[in-house]
Amino acid sequence: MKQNGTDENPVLRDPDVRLMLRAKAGDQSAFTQLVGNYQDRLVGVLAHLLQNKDAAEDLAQEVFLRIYRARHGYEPTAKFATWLFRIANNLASNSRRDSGRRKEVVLSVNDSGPLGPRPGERVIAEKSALMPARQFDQTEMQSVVQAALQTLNEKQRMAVLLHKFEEMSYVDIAAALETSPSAIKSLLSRARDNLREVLEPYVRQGTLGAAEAKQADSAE
Amino acid sequence: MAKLIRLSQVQRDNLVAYLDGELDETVTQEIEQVLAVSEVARHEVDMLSRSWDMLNALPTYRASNEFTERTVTSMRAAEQKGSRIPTELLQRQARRGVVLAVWAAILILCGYVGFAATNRWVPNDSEALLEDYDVINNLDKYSDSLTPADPANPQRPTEFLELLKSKRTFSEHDDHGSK
Repeated sequence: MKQNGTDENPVLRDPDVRLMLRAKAGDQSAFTQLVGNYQDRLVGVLAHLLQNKDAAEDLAQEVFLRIYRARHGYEPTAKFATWLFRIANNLASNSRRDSGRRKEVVLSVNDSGPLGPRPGERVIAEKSALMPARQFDQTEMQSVVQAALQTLNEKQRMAVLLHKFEEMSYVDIAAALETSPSAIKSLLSRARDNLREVLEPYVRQGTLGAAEAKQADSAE
Repeated sequence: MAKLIRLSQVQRDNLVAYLDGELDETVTQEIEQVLAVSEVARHEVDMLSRSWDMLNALPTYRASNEFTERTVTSMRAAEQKGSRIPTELLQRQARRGVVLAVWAAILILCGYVGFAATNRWVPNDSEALLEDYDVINNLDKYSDSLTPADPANPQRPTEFLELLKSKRTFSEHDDHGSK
């Protein structure tokens, strides 16, 4: 037997959707709570996407403002996170288009192919040439993985970030990126293939380093 | 040989979806069968999984301490700015409403004028029938009246017609006939 609205609309079970409905009704503290719930997650994803934390914060603020302005017309048709990241993705795309992305990011992306490897790949290659037979330290590992992430195209990167850090399902990622789940399946497959290709030497090195460390421990 | 067979793109897509737990039961079983026989697939899954785990090394970014405050301040500023918007919006909608109402009135007026003109000037056969409805309806009675009850007295029909003429019952018809 149906007892309330949440039985009819499963989206209403999302506590953030309920907060947004309160914000729609004029409860500003509910919106402040939403900002608190999502600010780190949003800044995190956008910082990885843009490779610039300040730009990520500015964009995250713009995302919240857009949502706040749109609150009067809000209808709960999807999870709140899906809606938020859809807006974030659109704003990030617009922002990059408008401001000339290549000048802003730390690691700009060029075409690979006849012109040579992508900068991300080049950074990895440079590091690889210097790579000692030891396990990476955390900073090296970070820059290698960041560079690997930069070898992905914009959409692949967003899908990877949403899947990895937001633990979103293919269906939710598809809703956020306004495409189909089957397209996301292919997109993520190619993205992970790329990552595997770029990171495989480091995966092997990591294993080797771990094995050497183990050997050294046992020798002691 | 099967151990080293290269995987198709669909199988590769499915391997990733398998790792993500996004496959239905049937396809999951198919992938598990492939993994059971294919060394290439097993290596692939291993590398995909470990390279994915390497993303954990990415730095964690957090919003700065002032982020919430800055955002809330911007929201308030937007709110104040936004409070002017409804008046403008209301005026714009009112103007649009008036224009729509005027157009609707013009349309209704045009319809009415068209209907009236059609009624007034376009000839209608059924109208003539309606005009003569009483006569048609009473035709039998009139016929009976015109038939002499007493064949010996043939004066009566003429008297009746004269009576009708004097009362000008069918004067319009007569006028029409005289034309």
